Amino acid sequence: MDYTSAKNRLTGEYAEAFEKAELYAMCCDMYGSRLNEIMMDLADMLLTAQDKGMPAKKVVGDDMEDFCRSFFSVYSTKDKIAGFLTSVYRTAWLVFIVELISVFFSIGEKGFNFWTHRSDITPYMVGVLAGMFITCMVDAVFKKMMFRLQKMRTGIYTAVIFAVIFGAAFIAPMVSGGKIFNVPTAPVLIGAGAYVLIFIIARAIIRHKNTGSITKKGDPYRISMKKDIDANVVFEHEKMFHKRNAKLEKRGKPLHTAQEFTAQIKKNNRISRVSTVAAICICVVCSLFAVVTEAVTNSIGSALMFGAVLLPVEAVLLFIFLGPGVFAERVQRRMIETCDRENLTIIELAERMRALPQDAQEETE
Amino acid sequence: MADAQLMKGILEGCVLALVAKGETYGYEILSELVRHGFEDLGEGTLYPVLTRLDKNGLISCRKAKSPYGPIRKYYSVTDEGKKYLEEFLQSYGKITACANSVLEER
Repeated sequence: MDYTSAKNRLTGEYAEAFEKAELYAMCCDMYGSRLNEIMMDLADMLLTAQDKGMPAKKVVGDDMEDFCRSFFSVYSTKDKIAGFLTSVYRTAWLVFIVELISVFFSIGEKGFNFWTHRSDITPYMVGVLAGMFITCMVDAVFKKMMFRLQKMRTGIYTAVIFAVIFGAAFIAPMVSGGKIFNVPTAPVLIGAGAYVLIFIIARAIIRHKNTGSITKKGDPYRISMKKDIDANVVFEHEKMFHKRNAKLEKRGKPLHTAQEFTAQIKKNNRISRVSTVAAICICVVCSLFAVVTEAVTNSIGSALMFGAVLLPVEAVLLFIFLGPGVFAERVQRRMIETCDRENLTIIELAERMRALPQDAQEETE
Repeated sequence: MADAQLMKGILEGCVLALVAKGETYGYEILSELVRHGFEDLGEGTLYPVLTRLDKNGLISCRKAKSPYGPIRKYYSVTDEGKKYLEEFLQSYGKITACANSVLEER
């Protein structure tokens, strides 16, 4: 979520109101850039009210559900369709990649014909799709009820969704007895590829019309997110510090000082960096070993073909699985470097950033 | 319910009149409305009004970073909006005059 930085600056009743609105949007299947824009407007309104001392009730009223219904009425059917098409686009990418891998691994097979080829979808994949379907159904029926549950939090809601999807993925093979489902490759691959292509072209046209750029660069909300990311990380760490100390206090153990916490984060960051490098090294060594084995047991041509398929697939998988971790580690490292340079703990840095106006925060970063 | 129906049209004109005073943003408009006595009016009611005015081309919106971090929308009135406001003031004046005349005779 792009507005998390703003959200982290809200406290008490203002944060509670924002969290409620966020949950309402989630329960009503709202997402995408339009939702980001709406939430950013609400965050600005609540932050200003918090600073000027206007009670949150003056902004959101007494009935939060009534407020949300009215506030989110600007999220139109057009936005809902756009959100649905975007989720189909993501699924189409997944299907396209899975089918492409299936074709690559079948090219060398005897009697391979692209037009008659059928790819195997394991019951796990069917399980994931079933889980997504169940989630949509549960969501549609219980969304209002979930919103009314005062203790419900967005994190819990996301965890429930993932639990349903993964639960279905593991139950499906048991139900089907491990049976493999066959689907024709060509129509699925071409259909998914065509959808992805049309979506990218249409999105570029709309972006150009709205921001003057076909990439995300012209989007002021994205620019804002990029600038805010470091401040957000500092506030997240501060939150983590207080959460950990609250747990320690509950158990009757001595609390961590800000210095101890900062030292722990520095140590974790080093471990994370070393683990990433180790994981990449292990993958590269294993791949080279597999390619050499293929060359020894079959032929060099076959090994080169195997390597040409394996390496890009492996690179994509590494990017998908390690990419977010590497990005988070880099952002965290930037925060640690600022702490070292200014001789501050993370908590002191957070307090200083909160006290400064936004422009000065960017200069500090 | 009667309040809500009455409010719908009037609020649009009031918000447009506030924006016509000079470039402004959501919180400022809300504070002004509260100051003028629209006590129970929340952001939930104001936000769709602003979106509607923007969509209809009566106000334009500039996005800039607020001192608190998020992107803030600054609204200003368009030429079409100024024209609409004039028409609204005339209609409103006429309607309130008629309504007052009826209600005073009660």
